[in-house]
This record gives sequence, structure tokens and C-alpha cells, in this order.
Amino acid sequence: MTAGLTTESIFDITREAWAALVAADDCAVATGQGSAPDDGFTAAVGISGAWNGVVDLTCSQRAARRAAAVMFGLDDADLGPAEVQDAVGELANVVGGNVKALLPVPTDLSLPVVGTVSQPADRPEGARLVGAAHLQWGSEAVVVRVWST
Amino acid sequence: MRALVVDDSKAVRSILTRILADIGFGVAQAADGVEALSELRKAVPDVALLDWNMPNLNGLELVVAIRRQGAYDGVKLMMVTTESETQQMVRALDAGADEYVMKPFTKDVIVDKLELLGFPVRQDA
Repeated sequence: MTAGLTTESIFDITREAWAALVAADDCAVATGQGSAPDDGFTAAVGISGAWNGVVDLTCSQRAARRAAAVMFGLDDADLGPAEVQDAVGELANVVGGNVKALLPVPTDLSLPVVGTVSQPADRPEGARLVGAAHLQWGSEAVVVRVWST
Repeated sequence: MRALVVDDSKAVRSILTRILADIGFGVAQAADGVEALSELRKAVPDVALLDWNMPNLNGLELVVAIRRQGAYDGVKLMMVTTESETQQMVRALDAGADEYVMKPFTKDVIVDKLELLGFPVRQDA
């Protein structure tokens, strides 16, 4: 693992993104490894250059809708699928961008790609997991994983 | 005071629009650099908040395009981005950006930067 890239640093980055974008300061480290949600969304951003890999963020449908409602300032009933996916993509973008800051420079960050847990965005073949943080937001799980390619 | 928010994320445009409206700005939005140039032709804002990573025309290319046109000399440009490399900040500032804010941002940071740029920010929210 790259020196600055630890479970703790990934957790801190994710918690900061949640606090700023979702106005939530109740994101906690999950006990043990936790498990990824079995429904919902996975959003990924690619990093290329002096270091190559992917950062992906997975959260449940409920967590995604809750985050989107805060980010858009809308009631849940007024959210469409596009708003929910946009919110998850931006959370992945912010987390990925800040993970990128821990890696060798120079690198470029791709635009986020959003998929579902059952049909995730493509991960490059042979990608190797080099870091992960499992978080709990209320009763919902949020998982951030960093893959090296 | 008028602001233009340029970001490919609708969620970020929504967050920034609420912040700016709360402190007294009228706000227009654009989803990428090409849309932003179109918005600029319709109405010249006092400040534009620009994401870096966007399709079509990215934030750095947009700064260059705006600064190439003398008609927009008075527009303050604030990058609001996840790009954190010092080299990238230098490139943006050299190209003509006036301020640089890292995502994730808070309302306080945006307000502080606007005050640094000389805007009489009204804080009643």
C-alpha cells in the first residue's frame, strides 16, 4: 500500500466528504470488516499517471437517496434516479480526488462512472485491492475501496 | 451580484446555488465549459465558480478561454475542485483563476473566499 493510503486515511476522507456534502457527522467506522450493501450503487473514479487505479464507493439505495435528498435540498419523493446517481457519483468524485492527493504525482482523475451493486461500473482486469474503509452511516453501510492496476 | 456555477454534477450546482443565493447572489448554472461560455454571452456574472474535471471543456480550459476574451476581465474566477496537486493550482492561477477551493467545501470556505475577492457578502442564513 502507498505510505499515506491507510484504512484510517480513507475513512477520514470519506467522513469529511459526508460531513461537508451530506451535512452528516454520524459516519462511523464499521466494526470488523463489515459487508458491502447488497443493493444500491457503486460509483468509481479512475486515477492515471504516476499511479494507476480506481477508487469506488458503494452504498445502499437508502443511503444514496438520503444523501441525494440533502445534497439537492429535496424531499425523498421529489428525487429522480438521475439525482440519486449524480449524488453518488459526486461523493465518489470527492473521495477519489482526496485519495488521489495521497498518491504519487502527477496523476489525472477521471469523471465518475455510476453503476448498481448488481451491475457495477467496469473495474480494470487484474485490479488489486490496496485499501478499503467500511463505514456505517446510521443503519446503512458505505464501503470505499481503492484498487491498483 | 451575479454568480455563474459551472460543474458537471447537478448536486454540486444545487449546493453552491443554495449557498450563493443565501448570501445575496443571483445564480446561473452551466454543466460544462461549453455551456458556461454560452451563459457568459447571455449575462456577464461578477464571479464564476468552476469545477476542473468536466466533459467537453474542462475548468482549466474554461479559465483560459474566459481570460482570452477582454470582455470578461472583470469576472472573478474561483476554481472549486477535487484537484489538489500544487502544480495544478499553480496552472489554474497562472491561467487567470483568482481563487482555489478544494472539495469538499463548506459554506464558510466559500463565503471567506468571496470576501477575499471583495464581495460584500450578506450572511443572514
